[in-house]
Formats: sequence, structure tokens, C-alpha cells
Amino acid sequence: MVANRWNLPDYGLGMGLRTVHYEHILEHEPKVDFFEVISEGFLQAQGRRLHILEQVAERYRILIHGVSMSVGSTDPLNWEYLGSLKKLAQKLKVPFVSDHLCWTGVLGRNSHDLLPIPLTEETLRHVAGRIRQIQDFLEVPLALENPSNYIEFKMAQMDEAEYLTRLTEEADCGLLLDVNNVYVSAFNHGFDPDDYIERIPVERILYHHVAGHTHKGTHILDTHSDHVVEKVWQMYERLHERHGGRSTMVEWDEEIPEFPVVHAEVLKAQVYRDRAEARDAAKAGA
Amino acid sequence: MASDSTHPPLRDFQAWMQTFIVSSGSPEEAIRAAEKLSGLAPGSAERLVQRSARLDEMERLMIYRRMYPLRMEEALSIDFPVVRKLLGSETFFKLVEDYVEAFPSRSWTLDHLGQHMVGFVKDHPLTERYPGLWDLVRLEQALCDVFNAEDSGVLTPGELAEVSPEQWPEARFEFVPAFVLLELGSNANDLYKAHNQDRDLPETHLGTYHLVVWREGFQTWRMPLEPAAFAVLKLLHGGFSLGEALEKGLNDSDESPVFEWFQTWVGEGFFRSLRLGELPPSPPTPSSVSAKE
Repeated sequence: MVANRWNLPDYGLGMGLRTVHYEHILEHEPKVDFFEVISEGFLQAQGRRLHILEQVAERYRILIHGVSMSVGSTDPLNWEYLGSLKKLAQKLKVPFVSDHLCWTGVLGRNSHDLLPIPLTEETLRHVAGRIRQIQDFLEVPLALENPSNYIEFKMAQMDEAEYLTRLTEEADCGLLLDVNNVYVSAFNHGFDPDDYIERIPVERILYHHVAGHTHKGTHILDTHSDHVVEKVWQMYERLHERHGGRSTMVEWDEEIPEFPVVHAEVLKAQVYRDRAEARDAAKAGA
Repeated sequence: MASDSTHPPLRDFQAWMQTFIVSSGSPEEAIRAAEKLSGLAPGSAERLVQRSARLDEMERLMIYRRMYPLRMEEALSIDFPVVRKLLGSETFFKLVEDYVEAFPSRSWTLDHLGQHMVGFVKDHPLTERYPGLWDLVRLEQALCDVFNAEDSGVLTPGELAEVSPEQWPEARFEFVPAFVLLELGSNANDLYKAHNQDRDLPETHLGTYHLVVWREGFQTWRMPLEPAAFAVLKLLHGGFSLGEALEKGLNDSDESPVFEWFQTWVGEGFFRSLRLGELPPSPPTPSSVSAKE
């Protein structure tokens, strides 16, 4: 068991707050430890969207996760966006803010995609510097997520596990380890996902995502459109064995089924946590 | 400009990759555009991208290039579902491709991606084949605008009751932010209504139609207006006093049920507040004045 660098507690098992589930959540108040919201959906929220968020926040812990920070871009940081994000983080009293290790646009444009960063010394310095500025401004830890990637660059000077290890150290930031993204990128790039999770600095992990994906034969797309595959759960179990409890969220964003189906997927995480803990206890008793 | 190496500066690399992803035309045209903008020499994909065991350099880049217009279409389909239904998915997709080339997203949010669609479609060639297209775009944009408008309080009947009869002509109304008046050249509202009721879209009919779109609480509404009611509301929205609006908006012989209109407008929450006293009319806002739908 390894505590995280900020000694933040395990907030348990959560799921995304999605429009199709609003009514079910407010009517049935299901047992969920927290809901994650996509920050950008609520930075300017008015009317019903804001009302729903406030209603849910009265009943549940909320974590926020963003897609537009663009920490890897060479465009200047968007302080207006970050200011709105800080206000939302303060309003919801979140313990940390999360976004992706990526860039979303350059030259003033936004592709709204999580585009890959070449894993070089140059980008490491660039991204670490921006994260330090962002974290100082937000006044809460930033947990960066490893994105699913479909491309690698010949200029890479290290692999992603090493890059994240060094980046989180140099920027003193947290890590949102998306276990499915490790699996997806491992297939797409041909690396060993088990080796990756053994090398990742678990004291930096604040949060986990797990999700389903779409296998296209030649590559895997991170679609969040299905159940989590068994191999991803096994990797999650191994991580839990390494570091103990970390807040964990199931992402399901396309072809979203009824609430109970997603909820059942969330509860599955406990099975793998229990298995890891039982093994740990057995080892301790041996 | 980048040197011709396998390790261009990050900014040039990003300009190259983004240009390849968002450029129109064939992949070959897109890579040429990317090389031109970033200053990288021909053969950039092969120099920069690592092949995988199953995909070559261009195939890997194409994953991102294919996803870009799909993501834009998904965002605009949320804002313009009836336009998509009218045009069909293929034509709508092409419209989106043309639109985002002219008006790419420059924001951290996709919520306002379609904000230039009204101007973009106004003189688009598709309006010849679909004469009601521009009106439908205006209607769906108005619905987005009122959905995203800031919350506000509304003028209550009690506050109105405090106004003495002799003060009425000088009363000026501040409208709620979630309020748009539309003068349409076709029956776009009928198409929207049919879509909402899961029916086939009716034929487009040309003619003058007046509509108000607003939000009350969490619900957006549409309500057709008589021409005289539209005229009065438009003048009030433009900052004219009630006396001025009635004088300019109604004919001398007009026997419009002004009192009933006001009861409806106040009841539906069109007004945020009321001011008494002489004030110069503020210029009309860019937004364009039965039963609510």
C-alpha cells in the first residue's frame, strides 16, 4: 500500500454524470460514491444544466475532469478558461482537478481532440513548466491523464511510462491513470501494458479511469462505448494491489445504457479491489 | 520556419499535425498544406510518424483526420437536429465540413461552434434546393441561444399592478436574456414541430411567419405571433416605451387585444423588469417578434 503524494483519501467508486441519467439519479438517489462531471459542460452552465449540477452536488461528492486545458500546446495558456475552471473547482470544493496529457489545438484553433505529444526532452520541459503555472493558479493538485494514442513519433526519446514518471516528478503533479488507455495504447503501439503499470509511480496516482473500447482489428479506439474488458480489470486489480484504494470511475460516453447497467459496471471494480486486498492479506499472513 | 529534420520544433510539429487533421481535400492535399504551413519538407509523414505493426504512417495519421469532422458533426447535430433531418446525413456532413473550414472552433467549448451558421447558410447554394433552410437554421440557433442564455428573474404581475394607468405609456421593459424574436420567410416552426413529434417533415411553405422563442425556467418555448403583436414586441425589445410601441406598431384602426397580449407576455416571463420615465430607446439587439409550443 502506497499513499499518494498529497495524502488525499480514496473517494471510492464513481461514474460520469450524463444527461440521460439525470432523472434516474435524482429520483432514485442510487448508492454511488461520487459523480464525475466534464468541466467544460458546466463552466458556463445556466438553467437546467446548472440546476441539475447543484441538485446532484447536494447529494454526492463531485469530481471534475476536463478536456480543454491543452497542457501540451505551444499556444499561450488560456487564463480565461482556467479562471472559470478555478471558480467551478472552488464552488464544488473538489480535492483536485484533472485533464489530459495532450494538446487540443494550436495557432488559436481547437480540434477538440486529445492530440499526442511527442515524448521528447523538449516537450517534457515545456509541459512541466505549464503544469506548474496551472497548479499554482488553481491551488489544487492537477492530475494528468494518460490519453489513448493512435500514433507514435520517430522523434520520441523515451516511452510513455518514463515520460509520465519524469513529468509528474518535475511538475510535482498528480496522475489520473486511465487503465483502459494503457491497454489501448499498448495494443496500438505494441508495448507490454503490464510492464507499463509496474513502472508507473503509484504515489503520483490520485485517480483511475476504466472504460470499454472498440476493437477495429488494426487498432483500438477509446470509445467508452462498452463494458470494461477483463484484461483491463486485471490491470486495475494489480494497481490496487500496488497502491491500495484510489478513487475510480467508470467512463461510458457512447451508446450509454440504462443507469443500472453502468452502475453494475462501477460495482464490479469492488470485486477486483477485494481480490487484490485478499491476496495482500494472505501475503501479510504468510 | 522549421529546419528539415526529423525533430522539428514543437510549434512547427503541432502546426503540421493540426493542419493535416483539419484541412479539406484529399489526404495528399492535406499533407501538402501541412508541410507548407509548418515549413517541413515533403515526405514529412514518413519522417515523423512511426509505423505500427499493422498500420503505416498515413493510416495512423488518418485516424485523427477521420475523427475531426465526425466530432464537429456530432456537436452541430445537437444544435441543428432538424436541419440535419431536412438535408439528410450526407449533405449535412458536407455542410459541416464546409462550415468548420470557414469557421473553425477557436474556443475551449463546442457549445458555440454553430454561432456563425446563420450567416454562413444565408447565401449558401443549398438554400436554392432547400428554400426554408436559412429560416430553420435561424430557428434552431435561436433555441440554442435561449437555452444558453443567463438566468434571470422575471417581472411579476404584482410589480405590474403597482404601475398606475397614467404611467403605462412611459413604461419601458427590460426583456429576459433568454428571449429571441424571429420574422421567418417560411414555415420553419412547422418543420421543427414535426421533428419534435417524431413525424416526417412537412413541405416547406414560403410566407411571413412571426415567432417568439424564449426560456421559462428550464424549458425553451416557441410561440407564433400575430404580425401586430410581433411589431409591438419588437419595438419594446428595441427600447421604446409602451406608448411609443403601440403608436408605431399598431394602425389607428387596429383593435388588437393589447391587454390580453400583455397578460400572456407577463405570464410567460418575457420581461425581467420595468422602468418608468423618459429614456432614449436603446438600439435593437441583433436578434430578430396562438399557442406556445
